[in-house]
Amino acid sequence: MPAEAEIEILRAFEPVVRYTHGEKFFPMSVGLYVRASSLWLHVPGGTDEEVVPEGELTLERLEELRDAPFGSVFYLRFVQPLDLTGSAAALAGERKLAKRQDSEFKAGVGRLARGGLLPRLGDGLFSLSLLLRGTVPGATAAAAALKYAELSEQDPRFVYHGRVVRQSGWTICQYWFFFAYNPWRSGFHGVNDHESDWEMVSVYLYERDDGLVPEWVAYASHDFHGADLRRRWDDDVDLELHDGHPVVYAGAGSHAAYFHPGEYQAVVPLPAPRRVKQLAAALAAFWRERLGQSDETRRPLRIPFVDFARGDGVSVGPGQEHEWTPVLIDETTPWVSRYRGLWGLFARDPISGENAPAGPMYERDGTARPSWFDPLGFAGLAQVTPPPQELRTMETECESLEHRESELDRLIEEETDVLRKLGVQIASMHGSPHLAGASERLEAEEAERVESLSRLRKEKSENLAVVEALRRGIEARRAGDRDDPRAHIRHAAAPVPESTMRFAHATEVWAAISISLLLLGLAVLLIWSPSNAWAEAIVLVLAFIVGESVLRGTFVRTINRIGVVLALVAVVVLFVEYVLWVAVALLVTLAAYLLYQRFEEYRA
Amino acid sequence: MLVLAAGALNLAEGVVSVLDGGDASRLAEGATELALGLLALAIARGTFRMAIWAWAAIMTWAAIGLTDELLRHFFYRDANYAVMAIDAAVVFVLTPRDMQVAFGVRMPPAHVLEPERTRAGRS
Repeated sequence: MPAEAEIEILRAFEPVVRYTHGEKFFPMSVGLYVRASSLWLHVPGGTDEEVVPEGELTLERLEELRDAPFGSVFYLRFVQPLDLTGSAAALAGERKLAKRQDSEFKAGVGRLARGGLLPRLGDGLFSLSLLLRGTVPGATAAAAALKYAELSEQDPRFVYHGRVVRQSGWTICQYWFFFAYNPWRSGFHGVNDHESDWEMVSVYLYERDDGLVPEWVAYASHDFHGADLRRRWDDDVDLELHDGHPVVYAGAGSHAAYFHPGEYQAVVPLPAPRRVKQLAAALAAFWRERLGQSDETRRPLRIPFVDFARGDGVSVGPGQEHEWTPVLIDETTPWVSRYRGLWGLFARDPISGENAPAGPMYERDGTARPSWFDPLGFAGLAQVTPPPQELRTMETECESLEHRESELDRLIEEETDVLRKLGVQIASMHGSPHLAGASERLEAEEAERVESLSRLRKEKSENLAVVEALRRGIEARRAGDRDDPRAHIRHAAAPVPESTMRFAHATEVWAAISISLLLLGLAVLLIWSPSNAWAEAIVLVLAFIVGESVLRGTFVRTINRIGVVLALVAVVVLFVEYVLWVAVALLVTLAAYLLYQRFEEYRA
Repeated sequence: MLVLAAGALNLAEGVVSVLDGGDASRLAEGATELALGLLALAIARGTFRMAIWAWAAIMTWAAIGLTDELLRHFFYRDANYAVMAIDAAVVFVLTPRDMQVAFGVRMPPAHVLEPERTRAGRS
């Protein structure tokens, strides 16, 4: 298909993306970014080496294939290393820029107040882990914002890199958005920062006589995979359309895509050994199922972060204040397929959160990216038939199952016949000791055949149910009815409701200072009363938990939880202390119960 | 009944401690137990009326009692295991969903409302 035709398809379904007020980075051309970057090589155990300096790098030079030892990482640097003066200048410059552009971000309700004491402790540990992990150096975000502002003055276009791919009857439009920087942590209290960012939206179309028709749209997002990423075009609960274009609400700094505007509680797993996670999950299940506590299915050991996707900032797309400039890409685009390195700083973060991502075609380790080579599987569409072929596929499957049904009838008949003959033979052998061996063999064969007959009957019964469902589906399709557009969704991201974000000023202040106060309190106990420090520390922690629950209005639930935990510990203590008496009580109870039962039986 | 029993036990211990006399700290301990016993009896009255505040008060009181006894057990080896057992029993009696529903602490499952879902705009 000619490039113009592909651009036309991309244009027809390109999304409208609404950003949050305060967002500093918008989708840009990779060429512009590369020309402002330098190319580096990291060799394990060695120092990083500059391969192509800033000003000399172009897309053509980037795509040159270069030899490097195993374990090496090629990466770009958008912001060159900053000294103290450079960092201070960048921070001051960025503040001025934000004022000039009126792009200062206001978090509103404090992030910390949205989680309890434990998540905040986890958050504190996560912040401390940044001291140990490799991270993007401080002030890099500010320097990147200044550099991006300069570049966007040279080229103010909002660019997406679009790809049209055909797979199994679907035509897929992939819109890849490239950002110079992901300032989620430094700018929006999020999880991570990294140089460069790639985000993607896919629209899945099918062909009809009158042209291509959109059926599904999938937004890449945190915490969701497969079918949960996609919505059907006629899903008017989740999918907002603006003149036939899907509307995306982008997370501030993270650029993750959402269907609804709002503030999302993104959860990040706390790094913990597998056994600890398993134990925590088992305890949570015991807590919910055995003790009948809180119905919410909470995932243990996770730190909540907020992803602000308010949609109250810059809006880009058809009919918006800014329009898109499409750039067509595919496997033959050299920078896409030949450069497998990172598109920004390699921060040496072992859990990769702060390392820059690779290009649209590759993962950070240089392997192929599933969303590129398997866009259907990425959105859980591998098993979904395009609508024009759906009826035919259902009819074919129905015919095939009906055929199998007649075959099963025949097999059941044959198997029943054989079994009856076997049954007659075995029955006739009774009373003939010399036929014991033969009878045993036949009984074994009979048992196998009974099982096989049972399997055939089970298959027939299941087939009948499936055929019935298919027939109903076929009739519905013929009548022009469609199934529920949301039937495939198992987990959907929902913004945090306004009502749960209303905290009193006292709660916000408490959220900000409580962890530090708790740590200071523990330190004071260690100095003031070292011999009783453990006992007093436990009382202090419990007091903090109860105080927190009073402020958050969850006192009743919290005191119940504390009570249940303490009661469980007390049961163990009492059992250990009175193990002999517990055993005696059990034996006496058992004896009395049995005596009562036997006596009742005797009386009857 | 458990609250009454626990209250009575605390009350009795308090009375015995106060009547026995002894040093100031022993007297203070007795007075505290006496006060706790009286408080428990007041809560027991609320419990018979199935008041939500009484449920919260008993649970709080049991949690405080359990904390005290467990700390005594683990750090000072002078726990009162009878009080510990009664407090644990109180917690287990008050925790089941039916009991919480009866006190009005939790809504019955059928009354749980689905979260509101906004419809996406189309233009």
